[in-house]
Amino acid sequence: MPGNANSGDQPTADFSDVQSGSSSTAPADQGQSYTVQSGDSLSKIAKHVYGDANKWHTIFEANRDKIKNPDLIHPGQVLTLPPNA
Amino acid sequence: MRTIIARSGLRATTLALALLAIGACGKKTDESSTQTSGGTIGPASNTVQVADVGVGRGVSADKRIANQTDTFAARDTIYASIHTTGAAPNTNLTARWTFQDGQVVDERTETISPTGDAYTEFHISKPSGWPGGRYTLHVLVNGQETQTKDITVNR
Repeated sequence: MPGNANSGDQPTADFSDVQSGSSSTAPADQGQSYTVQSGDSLSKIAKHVYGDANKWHTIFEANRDKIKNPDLIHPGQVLTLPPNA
Repeated sequence: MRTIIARSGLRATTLALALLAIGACGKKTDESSTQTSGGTIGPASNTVQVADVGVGRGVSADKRIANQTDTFAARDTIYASIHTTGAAPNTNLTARWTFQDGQVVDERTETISPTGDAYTEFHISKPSGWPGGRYTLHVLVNGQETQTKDITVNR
């Protein structure tokens, strides 16, 4: 019967033997983490970690999902510190 | 009378200027500009973006496409090189290859922590040979599709 339920299905190709790989020029490391202490600010952390308080925005950019206001971080927050900032 | 009208006009002008100033302040807040001790940050941006996607039969040591083409033979290894800009740790860059009917051929994710321009290559091969037809490469950043690229396999 021409109108059966499977008549519109296209035959599927067999891709079971497909092999794949990947590599990147970007570093794969996740950087280090830092737990915010009482009295910390992004500038203070940047100065401590990178030796340059002006690199606070690098930490901010890497933690956009955790920090909404760069002037407001909380003790106990775990921040990601990007490598080579 | 003229004096009263003139003063009323002056008050109206002052009020209008005040309202304009309030409106301007509100607009600035909407743009999410944030003043901090380190400077002014603009509106939030996606930290890693796909600048370009190339496909071909090989990549060089710097992960760029060496032999660019969008037409392949059945026994070719198909390479894609994704040029990204921006910096962010733990960014998931995914290459999803689909066959013409939408069937997923392969999907692979590379977790990268770029600090600027970067090239990431993905490659697929099929020892028994690719079925002829049109394939699409879907590029996703953290699960969000950002670009697609069509290729053809001739048998």
